[in-house]
Amino acid sequence: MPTMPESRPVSSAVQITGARRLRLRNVPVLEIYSGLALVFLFLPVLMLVVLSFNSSVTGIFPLRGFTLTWYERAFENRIIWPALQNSLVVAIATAVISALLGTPAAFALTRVSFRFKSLLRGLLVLPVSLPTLLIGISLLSFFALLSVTRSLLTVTIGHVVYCVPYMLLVVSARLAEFDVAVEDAARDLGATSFQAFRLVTFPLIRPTIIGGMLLIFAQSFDMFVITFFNIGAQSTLPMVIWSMVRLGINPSLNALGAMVLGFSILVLLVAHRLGGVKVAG
Amino acid sequence: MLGRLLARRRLSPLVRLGPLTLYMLIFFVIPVGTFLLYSFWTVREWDVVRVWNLGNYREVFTSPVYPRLIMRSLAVGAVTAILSVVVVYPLAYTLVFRLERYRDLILFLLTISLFSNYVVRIYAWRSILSANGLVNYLLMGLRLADGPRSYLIHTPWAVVVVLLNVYIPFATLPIFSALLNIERDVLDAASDLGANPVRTFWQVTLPLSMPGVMAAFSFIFLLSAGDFVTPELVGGINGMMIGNAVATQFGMVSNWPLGAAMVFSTILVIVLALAAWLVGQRGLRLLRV
Repeated sequence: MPTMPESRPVSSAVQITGARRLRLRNVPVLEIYSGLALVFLFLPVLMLVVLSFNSSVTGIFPLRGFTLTWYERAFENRIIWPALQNSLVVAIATAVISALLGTPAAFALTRVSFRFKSLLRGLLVLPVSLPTLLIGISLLSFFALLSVTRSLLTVTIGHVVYCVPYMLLVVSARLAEFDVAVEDAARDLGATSFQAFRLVTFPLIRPTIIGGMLLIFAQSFDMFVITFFNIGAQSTLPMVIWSMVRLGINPSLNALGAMVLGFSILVLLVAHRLGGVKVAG
Repeated sequence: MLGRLLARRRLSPLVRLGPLTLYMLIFFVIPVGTFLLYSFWTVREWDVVRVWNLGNYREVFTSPVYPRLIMRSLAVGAVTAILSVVVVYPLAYTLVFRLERYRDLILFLLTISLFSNYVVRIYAWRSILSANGLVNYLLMGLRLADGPRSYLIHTPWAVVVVLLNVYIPFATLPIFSALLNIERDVLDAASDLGANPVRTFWQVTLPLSMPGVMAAFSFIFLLSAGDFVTPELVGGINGMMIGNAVATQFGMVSNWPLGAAMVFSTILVIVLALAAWLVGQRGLRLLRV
């Protein structure tokens, strides 16, 4: 935690800036601005939720009245259920594989130094900063060259490529602030390296690993572009949503979208509650 | 198993990094490599034939359509990147220096939009920007327009607005981290030496946060220029970008080598622009000396 301005040593210069800050605080321009930015960020989500309860069928505005019809319609749609099941399978597999590959790597990247380390880290984290289109079609052309049939497996492979960097970032951030002294203490008290890890280190970082897995679960559950290019005959939820989107404005799509959003928020809330999950900082 | 692997501190990093590195080589580096090879191959009767040639690149650069799509993608990417830095910097600054109390909550909100509902969110913009959408409804309600304004959707600007919305979290987090990493002592020192808050911001805070700004800019530029879902849903004909042309080659048209050539032509243009900019910088510096 950075020091709060209040806890600074008081010198005359600081008092002057303090007074200025106070005057600026009377017109909280930055705070208002930030609020507006957040409204802009969540405007489409708010629209989605509002419209999912709107009883008008044809037009969007003005709003007519409250209804739950679109939620009933969304549940009646038979295509959703197998797609939901596939999405869950892919998301869970992606989270588990990412944790197994990413956690040991994060340990090596934070605790050991070796040549070309920053180069390797850069390469391993690169996929998050690239357009998913490039990752998706590269994998597609690779699988085609090897005559691999597209399936949920190829989709999962692609999701892991995109998601594993998050595991690296999250676990590395936790390890960077981890006090190695507690491990040394365990060893001084007679624990073997493995015991020190199992009894001390792992319990301390477990919330971060689980939190990272939930983050990746949410990411994979929502991933469209990579799935779009690498899926076979089966379907996932974002694919169903995409096909509904292509058909035009559809109120039951708003309901479905709102439910998917609610589910994602729930997953992320659990990740957040576990604490220790930081993508930045 | 995982535990035992992690515990062995003395094991060479190879064991712990090996699996992930191998995975990324096989499923990320090599696929991008084979994708590059595709761009030099050709299609005959719906099948990819491994005949080496530059025909796809010739087709991309001599066509009346693709160069325009590439330039539009780069322009949309650049405008979105600049706007997102401008829009997001004050937000990140406020998060670090003003709203410490709500920081966790706001970071959580950013995480939510980073990790959820990409397609649905873009789709929702249609009900905001379309002829009978929110903006037109408000404009007409406030008597600022007497009929629906059609220029709100199906333009490159609609694409920019939606991309801005989608990628705000991606822009906020790097700038936020950069600002958070600035030592408070440095800022105190600036004010102790007599700099007012405005001067401290321009001469200390902003330069120190530039790495975050550059990271945010390049993230947003690449992600926006390479997006195809947003232009597909809100761009219309005038907002089409190179990603749409590429996706078409991998879907309906099925000329993969041509699609690959479009991707690498775009990358080539970016690299050339970057090189020109660097050389220009160098030239300026030499002139000044």
